[in-house]
Amino acid sequence: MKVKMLSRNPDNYVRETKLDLQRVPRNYDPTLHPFEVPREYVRALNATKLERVFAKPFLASLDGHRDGVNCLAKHPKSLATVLSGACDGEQWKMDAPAYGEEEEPLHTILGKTVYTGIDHHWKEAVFATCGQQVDIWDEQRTSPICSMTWGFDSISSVKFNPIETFLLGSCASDRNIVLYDMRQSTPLKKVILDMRTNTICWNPMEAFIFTAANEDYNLYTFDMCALDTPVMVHMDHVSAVLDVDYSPTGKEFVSASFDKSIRIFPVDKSRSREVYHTK
Amino acid sequence: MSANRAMESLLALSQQEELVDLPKDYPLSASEDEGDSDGERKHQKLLEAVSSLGGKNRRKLAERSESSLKVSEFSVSSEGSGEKLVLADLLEPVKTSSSLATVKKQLNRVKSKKTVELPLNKEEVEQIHREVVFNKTSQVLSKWDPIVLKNRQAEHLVFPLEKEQPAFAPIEHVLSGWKARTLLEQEIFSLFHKNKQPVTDPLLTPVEKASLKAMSLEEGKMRRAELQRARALQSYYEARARRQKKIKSKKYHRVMKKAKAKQALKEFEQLRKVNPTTGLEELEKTEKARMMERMSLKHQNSGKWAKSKAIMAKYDLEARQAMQEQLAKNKELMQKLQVASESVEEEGGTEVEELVPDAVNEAQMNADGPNPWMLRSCTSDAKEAEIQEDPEQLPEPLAHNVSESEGDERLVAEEEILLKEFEERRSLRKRSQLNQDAESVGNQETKDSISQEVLFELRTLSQKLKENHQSSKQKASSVGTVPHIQREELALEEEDEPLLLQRPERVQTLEELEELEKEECFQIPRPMLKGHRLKKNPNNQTDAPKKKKKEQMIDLQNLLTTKSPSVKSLAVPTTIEELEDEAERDQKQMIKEAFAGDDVIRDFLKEKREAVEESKPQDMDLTLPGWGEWGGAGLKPSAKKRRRFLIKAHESPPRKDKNLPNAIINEKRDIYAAAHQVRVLPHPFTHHRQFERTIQTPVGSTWNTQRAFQKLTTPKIVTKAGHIIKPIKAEDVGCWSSSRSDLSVLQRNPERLSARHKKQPKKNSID
Repeated sequence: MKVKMLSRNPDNYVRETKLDLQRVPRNYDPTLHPFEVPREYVRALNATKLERVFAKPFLASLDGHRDGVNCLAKHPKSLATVLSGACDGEQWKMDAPAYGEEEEPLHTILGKTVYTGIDHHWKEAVFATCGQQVDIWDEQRTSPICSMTWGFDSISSVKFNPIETFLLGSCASDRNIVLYDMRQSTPLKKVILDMRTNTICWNPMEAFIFTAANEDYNLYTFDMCALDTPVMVHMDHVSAVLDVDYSPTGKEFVSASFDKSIRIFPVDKSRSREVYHTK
Repeated sequence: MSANRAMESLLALSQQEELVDLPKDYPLSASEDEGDSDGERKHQKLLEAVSSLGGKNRRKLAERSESSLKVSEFSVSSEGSGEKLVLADLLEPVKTSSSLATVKKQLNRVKSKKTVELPLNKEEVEQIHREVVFNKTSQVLSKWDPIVLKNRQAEHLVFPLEKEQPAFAPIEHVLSGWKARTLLEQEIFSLFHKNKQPVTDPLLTPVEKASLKAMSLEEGKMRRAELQRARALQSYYEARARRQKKIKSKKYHRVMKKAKAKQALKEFEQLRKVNPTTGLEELEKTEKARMMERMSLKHQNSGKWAKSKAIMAKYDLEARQAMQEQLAKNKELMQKLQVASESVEEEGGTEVEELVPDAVNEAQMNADGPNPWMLRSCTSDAKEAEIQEDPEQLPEPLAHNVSESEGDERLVAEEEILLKEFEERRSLRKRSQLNQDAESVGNQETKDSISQEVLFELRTLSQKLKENHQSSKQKASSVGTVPHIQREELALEEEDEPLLLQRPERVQTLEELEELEKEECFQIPRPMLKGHRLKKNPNNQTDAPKKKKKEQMIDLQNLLTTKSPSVKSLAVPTTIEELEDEAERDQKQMIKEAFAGDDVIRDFLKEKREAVEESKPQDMDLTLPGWGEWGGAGLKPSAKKRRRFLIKAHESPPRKDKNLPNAIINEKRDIYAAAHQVRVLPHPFTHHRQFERTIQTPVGSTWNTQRAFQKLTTPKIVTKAGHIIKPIKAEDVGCWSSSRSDLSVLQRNPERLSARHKKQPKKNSID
């Protein structure tokens, strides 16, 4: 008499190592799993709600300043270090989770005019200041290497391009954004907008893209080779946009506004993805 | 103006010199303490005084006729005359006098100089500079376009972008702070030391270093390539040899052998010229070979084949002939080789051989031919040629002063031709029937073309055609002909290229035909050949017109079949068009009948009128019947009251379709419909089915296998925790290309932008 044995290949159900996941045999026949779309919809809704519930956007507050914090900078080579400057003239270096310590200046330069903004070159020991004109300084010298100007109004901020590091962008109080070339020490182009631009920020992954934070509640992303029209206008703020900074991936940026909110925009979308606000 | 100024300055200069010459006692300081205007007058006076001082040696001034207020020797002005002063006018009087040579020279110099243009003002210069620099910068930036585009279109991106090198420290660093402690380690190290293996700093052994030094990478690569090439060539050669070895045809092998012999002979001849001693050695070798041949019983009638033939010889004429041939060969081989005779004799011999028919040749050669190899090949060649009856194989027309070496070369060439013929035959056998047909035509064609007369005729024909062509270029029919003939010929020749190879000169184009024709003048016409041809293909002798007709027929066919849009339109036209017309008319009739009742245009106009009426703002009537007066059924509010409470609507802005009679533009967005409309579509959207598919396919792990689920839900951007994402660097990305076009299309689409953001601030960029 012949007996038929039920046999299975252990390869189908035995794990190779203990660390592997357990194999769960599953039948994907669509007739066995009806109502795909409604079920998925419910799942997605629940997931979104839960994400909101458990979201913790606020990580920590860094204390120590006795006056309003006026400026903030990331450390380019350390993830945990943030530098901040307050209105009482203090400069702090903070390690993100812990409190920071006060820094002493290494070198002091006295200029003839007021400096309203500063930015450091991404590779060389060069930095740029702005005020009445844009000055390029060597770290070792007390006088600027070159100064560039176009127009007479005071310039509120200056930013180096992180990729093509000889490029600079600045925004002045006469409503315009001016681009400079550091090598030729000459301005390149100027865009005049309807209202004043507070800051600009260059995209760290796309050399010719920058975003300008404007007083007319909007942010404008420009291609510097085609300044006639902005690539994208980002709206959602309800007051003047004061500052903008790109994420290192170059896909999103965060903007701070006078409406006491912070918004995160995707670069290619005109509406913000996320908004954070204080009371 | 400038000339004027120059004149003045010159004069002033000369005046100064005079001042220097002044005597000391003259009151010079008089003008110093007075005013400017006064001073000028005094200065004039002074000058006059100075001029009067000179006395005799000063030339008397010519009187001036200018109508000027100020007349002075030292300055010229054109105030009074109202004309511009031209330098040429001033120079005219100077030309006559010889004493003013230096002044003349100076003036000429001034005249020759051109005025330098004013430099641009600062703003313009800056603007130009800015533009130039901006263009350069945008060029520099444009190299980023492909990378940016790639990153934007990428499905998944993992940051940081740059591939991190696995951080392995060089072995030297690892070894620097390390000592061999255990026994085993020590042993290993001792082994290393014994074998001169470097343990610490330079990782290469001396041998390796030497080898590195010996050959650079490029050199090595080159050498490798060379070796590869040599190997490849060798393999080709081997394959070829194998192929040839497989050929069973005895004739082929015989011919091959002969060719080899020829080659050897040729080499020997050369050697004899260049190096007599080695030549002698060679000769000895050949002699030895011949002796071996003599010793062997190859051509005695003792072989298998010979015996069978001997049996057959009684009845078969061919067999008898073959036997006789073999015997002759044997005799020939058994003959002892004579020492190479003088070149004169040889030349005579060859000449005779070439001039006289083959049969005579043979006998003579047998008698006193210096070279058995050569001899045999010659005769056999001739025989073969006869057997094949190929006109191509016939010996060439000869110039009388052919040297011996040339003759040799020709013989070799003949050998080669034979070989080629073999090859070709083999290939022919393989070819399909169709091809063969085509070739037979082609063969015919080549045969035709080789005979000089036909060539001549062809040429004349073509010339005529060309003339025709030139005279009537406009005619569509004649345009095609000449190029077609040429093309036809070319095509034919291409078809039977292997056949053509047999011919000594290949005729490729009409031009070459012409050249051939020219050559013909130098060659002696050969009646024998001619006769031969005549016998062979009498059709060919039929003259030009027929030939021409043939060509033209082909042409016509070509015209009809290949490219004849114009001809078609001319030839086909009327009937087809009529047909089409009829069809169209029928169609129209049908449609008319089908839609007889409805007037679409009027309907549309009515619809539009309604839409316009509807979109017009309505007046608001706020009258309340019965308010302040009697009300009830049948009572209407008074006209005064109605007028008072009627609020007139404002003029609406003009409709967008006001000037578009065939369109209705509805500016009202239907919010009810909008609620059900899709907001986001899959990106490269081509068909609605695409969208439906995305909606229908579930994403969750319940409906998909794990791998598919993971693939479907992979995040677009992945960042590694704890890594700093640095700004993109040119070195990381590597490759550059400079095309900005594709991106600019994608990125700067003004319509898209403006459509999306209607509320855009007014911007203007200044460069």
